[in-house]
Amino acid sequence: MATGVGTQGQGHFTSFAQIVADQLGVDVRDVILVTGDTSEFHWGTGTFASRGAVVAANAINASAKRVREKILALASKVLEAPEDELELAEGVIRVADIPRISITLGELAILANPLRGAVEPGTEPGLEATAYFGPQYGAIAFGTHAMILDVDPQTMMIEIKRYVAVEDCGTVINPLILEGQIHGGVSLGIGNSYYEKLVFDDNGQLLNASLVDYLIPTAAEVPRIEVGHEETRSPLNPLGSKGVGEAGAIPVPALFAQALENALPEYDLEILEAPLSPNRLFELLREKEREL
Amino acid sequence: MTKKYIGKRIKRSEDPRLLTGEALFVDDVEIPGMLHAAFLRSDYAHAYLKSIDISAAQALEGVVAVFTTETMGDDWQPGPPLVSPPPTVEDVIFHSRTQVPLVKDKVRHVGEPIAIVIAENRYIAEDAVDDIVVDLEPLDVVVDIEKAMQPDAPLVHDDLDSNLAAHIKQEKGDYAAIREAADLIIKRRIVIDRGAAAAMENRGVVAQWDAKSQHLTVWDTTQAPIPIRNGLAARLDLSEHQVRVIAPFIGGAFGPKMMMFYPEEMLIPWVSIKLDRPVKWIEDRYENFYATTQERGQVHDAEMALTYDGRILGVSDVFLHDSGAYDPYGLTIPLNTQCHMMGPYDVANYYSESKVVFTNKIITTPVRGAGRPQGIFIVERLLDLAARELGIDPIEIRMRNLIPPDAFPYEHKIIDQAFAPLIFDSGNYKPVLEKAADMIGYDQFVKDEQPRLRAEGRHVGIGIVPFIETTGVGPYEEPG
Repeated sequence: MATGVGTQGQGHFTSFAQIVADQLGVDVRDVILVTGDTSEFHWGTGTFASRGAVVAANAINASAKRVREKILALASKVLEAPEDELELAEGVIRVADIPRISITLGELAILANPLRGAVEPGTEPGLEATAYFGPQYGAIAFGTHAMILDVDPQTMMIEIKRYVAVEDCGTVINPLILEGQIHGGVSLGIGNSYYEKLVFDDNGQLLNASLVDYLIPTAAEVPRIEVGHEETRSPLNPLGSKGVGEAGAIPVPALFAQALENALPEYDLEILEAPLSPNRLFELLREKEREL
Repeated sequence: MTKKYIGKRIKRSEDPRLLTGEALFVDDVEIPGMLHAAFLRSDYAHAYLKSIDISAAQALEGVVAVFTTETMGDDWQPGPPLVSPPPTVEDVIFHSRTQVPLVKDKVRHVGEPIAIVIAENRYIAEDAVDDIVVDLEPLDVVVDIEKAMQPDAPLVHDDLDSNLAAHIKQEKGDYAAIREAADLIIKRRIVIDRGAAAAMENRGVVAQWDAKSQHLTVWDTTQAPIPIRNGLAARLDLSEHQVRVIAPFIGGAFGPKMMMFYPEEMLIPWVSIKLDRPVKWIEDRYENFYATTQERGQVHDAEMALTYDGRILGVSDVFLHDSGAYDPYGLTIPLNTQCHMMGPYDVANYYSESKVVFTNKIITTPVRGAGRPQGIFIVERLLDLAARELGIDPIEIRMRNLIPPDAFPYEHKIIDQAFAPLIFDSGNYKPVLEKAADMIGYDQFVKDEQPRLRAEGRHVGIGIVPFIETTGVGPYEEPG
């Protein structure tokens, strides 16, 4: 299986293989995904905008389905049985009630691409298919995040006591990978909310161009993230899936602002900026103290 | 078809290779005869390039070549615009200005490459960079996006009248009219500032031109190998079949590796062909802060009109968006922001105006979220402040405004980043909000735990925020 949607850690090798494995009745470990090499495929755009699970997954599903159809058509001839009596499982096609009448997918593939004989007019050699999927418009994923945090008004340091992320991205391909996406997104969101700010001076010089001064949340700053699921299928594609690559990051700054205001009611804060930081919170609290 | 695998928590098949060092990353590529590149980057954010003297650098032992815009000759050309302005929206202003392989007349941000040194190893290349003598005449710098829009602001692009890169308005219903009927208007200025993507692996490009087979192979930390292949072939006057782009394992990307035709991406393949040698460039962390794109800078003047019982009548927003020195990515991020400023709510009246502004900073392109966090930040802040003023519980005010489950597909009558109409295909927003509240024990926390902890002197707060996310945009994918 070759696709133009590359991977930068999202687990595409696994999630896309799951789709193929279900269509072709093979073990998921026997599906090899090739990605990121233009000599393997020629058309496509790439991995961005939370589209892998929708656009690539559905295209993969469509092409795997076509391969399945070819498998059944050829196996029907070879095994001399009607297609609806065939079953495809564990890499073998067999006649449902007479399991000894069977052929492996590998053997069938060789028969599909013979060195002699004729390929029937109107058919193609091999057990290969290419399909594309282009959605009519984007699917809308959604969710809700909630957080309890503790802030020390002396040091301005925060501790996230609990973090809950409930997501609905339609049909889920692999819950483990999905949670990985949420965890990653939330981590980035926490950085966007309280730690990561690029500071440019009036000369356009970046004052914190180093990981010593540009604070990326570490394991100490990222809490255990409790993930909840709902599943509202999308009507826009056969799998019913929606994207989820960015969901973890989206609500976090708004969440931080609300929780911080709630933590410091005596200050009657209005947080109208992001990212904050310990320094900035200090300034905001001092400003308020002068007012009150 | 059996449903044996879809929906199952299967461990990732790629992990054993990744964990045992048997996965290829761009910096693992080692080719006999490979040369190494280092860049001379501008220390000034805005300056005229008066002269460059590369002679001392060229003379250093181990240096194979030094290139500047002048020595590139006719092969020098700016990068291609990646996203056109939306064709169906009226009155869009769009000035396309794209990044260049090497500075020609004027530096527009700190870190912009002025020259490239090719040497036997990176150490020699960096030493040679220090030997280049460059005469830059500093100009006044524009950093702040509001200041950039003032009439006397220094111009990032001298051929334009101002630093306005683009201007787009979208509306739904009639906000101006509904405003008159509102019981409450919440109006605030909201500022969101830049962050980096800071992926674990920095960028890198290795290019190998084989003159005998007339074939170019490029290893690139890109999220988009196919468009890179197509664009490189066009720029280098090759057919697509002569170019192979490989994006091997990549250590995180988060958006900036979807920016295409970075100066380094345009140059390294060209150098390989010019010298008929393989060439490698790997970005270090310091370079990453100056040479890899960032995102999030916006200033909003936003308002929300509501009834006394917390129903949103309309949202209106005028915002400036920081593009940095160039705008290859078009209106993608501001369009995303516009599409998320109504959140998951039933909002009948909406006005959004975005001005994209050039500044003397590295370009902004989508970073995980890509304009959506800003939109959600605005709508949720306004709603929180409205809830406070009206004395309505934060969860309750949201419940009153969520798009109901029988209203889908819900048309917002504006367009999104893919130029498609913003239609919410399906959704059921109440259950996710209730589930989150339930999982965190919202009511119990507010009633019991919080007062108890406060009595102990602790400052604990709770927050809950629903959101939507546009996903799954085209144009298409075609696997086989």
